Amino acid sequence: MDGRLGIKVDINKDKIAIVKIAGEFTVFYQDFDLLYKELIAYTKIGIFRFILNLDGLSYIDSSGIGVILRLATAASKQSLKICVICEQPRILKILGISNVDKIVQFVKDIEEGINYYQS
Amino acid sequence: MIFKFTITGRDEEVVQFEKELLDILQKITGNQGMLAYEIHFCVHEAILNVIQHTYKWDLERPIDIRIDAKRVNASTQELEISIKDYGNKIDKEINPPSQINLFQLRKRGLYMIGKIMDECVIKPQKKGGNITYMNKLLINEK
Repeated sequence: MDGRLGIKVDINKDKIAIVKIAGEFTVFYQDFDLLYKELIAYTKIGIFRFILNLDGLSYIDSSGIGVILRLATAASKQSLKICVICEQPRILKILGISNVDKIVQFVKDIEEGINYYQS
Repeated sequence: MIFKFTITGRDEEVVQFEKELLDILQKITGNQGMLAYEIHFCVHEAILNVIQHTYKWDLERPIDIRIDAKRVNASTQELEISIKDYGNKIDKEINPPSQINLFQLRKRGLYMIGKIMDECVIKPQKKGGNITYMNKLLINEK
């Protein structure tokens, strides 16, 4: 663990949250709580369509997985899936071991994610 | 080879330990893809488990880590990892769940450890505290 945790969120005109998470996605960083609260806050104002770009992540643990699961759960209650962009083998491996790969929609880029929600 | 560490839950100690841990695991596992990272993940999860559930985020309490890599034969090593805490002992042994609900949050870290390691058990100690024990056979297929 030596990379800070960073987040950038854009909400597009169709109320899709495009979220880029970079660094190490673990509760060991102080910013984790802020990130968690910010993302959950979107679900409380009715945003359930997320495109999470995880390509900037260098590490994820079960606490980071937990945030993805909470978003996926909120989306699932609206009969939606969250979209994930990730081509990093180490992160993909962890998503696979945690079974998160079974409940999210993998997309190759933001455009494919937007198309997924519009189809 | 035996490696012993004592750390607290303070960020800087965990960060430093995890750097050394990855270095050790890469040397032990050699060129076996992501294996070092996977085992590193399991140790990280076990420590997070202690800090979160046993120490309730009291970051000053000690955690002892022991890593033992033993050669079984020319192509196989056995890696044993023990993580000892000094918190309240649990009522009974805990094993990773073999299955979890797709959206379940609790025990997911332990479930993941169970999928990576050959064995994992959290055992209460008679004199207090608990030990998280994990092992894995490392087979060099060259």
